[in-house]
Amino acid sequence: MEQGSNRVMNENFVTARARGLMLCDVCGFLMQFKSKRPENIHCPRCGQAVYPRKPASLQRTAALVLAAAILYFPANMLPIMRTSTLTYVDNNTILSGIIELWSGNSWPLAIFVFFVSILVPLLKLAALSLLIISTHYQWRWRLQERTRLYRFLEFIGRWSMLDVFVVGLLVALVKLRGLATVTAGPGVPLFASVVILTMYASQAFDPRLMWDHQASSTPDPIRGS
Amino acid sequence: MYAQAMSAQTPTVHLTACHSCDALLRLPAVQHSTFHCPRCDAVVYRAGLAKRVDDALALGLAAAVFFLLANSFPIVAIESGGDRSFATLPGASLALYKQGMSFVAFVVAITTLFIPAIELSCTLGMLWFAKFKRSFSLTFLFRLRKRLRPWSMIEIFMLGTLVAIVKLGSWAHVLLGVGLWSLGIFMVLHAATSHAFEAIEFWSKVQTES
Repeated sequence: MEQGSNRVMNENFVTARARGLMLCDVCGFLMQFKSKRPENIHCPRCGQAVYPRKPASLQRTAALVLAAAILYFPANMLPIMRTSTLTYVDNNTILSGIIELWSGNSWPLAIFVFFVSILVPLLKLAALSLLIISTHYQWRWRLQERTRLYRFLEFIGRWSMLDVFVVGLLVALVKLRGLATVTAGPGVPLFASVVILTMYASQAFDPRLMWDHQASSTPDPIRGS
Repeated sequence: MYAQAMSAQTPTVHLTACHSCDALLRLPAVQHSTFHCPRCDAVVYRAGLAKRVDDALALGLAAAVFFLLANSFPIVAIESGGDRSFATLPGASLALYKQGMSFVAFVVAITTLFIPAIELSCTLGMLWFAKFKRSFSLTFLFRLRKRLRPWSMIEIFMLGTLVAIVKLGSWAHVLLGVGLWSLGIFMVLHAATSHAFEAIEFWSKVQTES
């Protein structure tokens, strides 16, 4: 209702932590904490361990992003699927599978698979790195957009698992006696690991950390100058 | 050591914090629609579709039936030169396991079989206790369900099936099985059950009635 005053209001929000309150991220219970560094506090309603902020969030996210980045390259270069028929053997990587879809006149699907299998993992690694760096150096730049980016990452990350399921289904399905078989390649476990690691990485990141620096009332608008 | 609850008896429904930016917020008294955080635009509160526990329970039980069907019948079958083979949902992870891909088989089994099943069981269990007003320890089910939710990947598997069908379409005759339709219906019903189940509403219901 007060759309126009949003910008002004942004500066005036009180965080729950500043009031000694924290939210249980499982059941949404708002509770008080007393010490400066609360540990071993469990939600009185659902029993979940609750922290004002996720513990060691940036370090854990960075470690998981790094692990995923290392696995990203072999995951994309090693074959994920081997199709053998009587006449030929065909090794497919993720990219060659997409090219096959594209040339088989299913370009909308090819674009979608390219997006979730190639672009999303890359985008996730790049975006999480940006979030880690911008939060670590306490940038106040585009907080709303960065929060939106984080939510988008959390939403889209799971969809990269698509290719793993395609391989699983084809392996189970194509076993025509002697005519054709499909075998899973070494790229699949690597690719599944990349997806799992980036999912854990985005779960480990705490978006509230980005907003904390806005609340701290240092007057200089441009840091470092 | 437990935290001091703001007030143990009357839940603090009206005051909440944004999970995304930690702004302290007052929820509007009338909660009919989605409430966004005025600071960072995250969804703070979403009103459930089914207001009554009975509706959610009915949807959830129907979802369970279709999940069983989806696991018992073939999802797709192919026919080529008089030879026919089919794949089921558990068959996908079993075939991967047989090829020595035990890690991938585990990931597929977890994300398409066990987690959806556990998630639905947790939801049903909690709705059941909410309906019959047992003072049962729901907390474990509740935490488990919340933890597992992002790892339930039925809808992604459905899209993977579509990609596999398109890939095979050029050289084999593809038949869609009962399992695929059941899986689709399960997906919709499961989403509706989960949607009807909103944490804030659930706890206020359980707490005020106990």
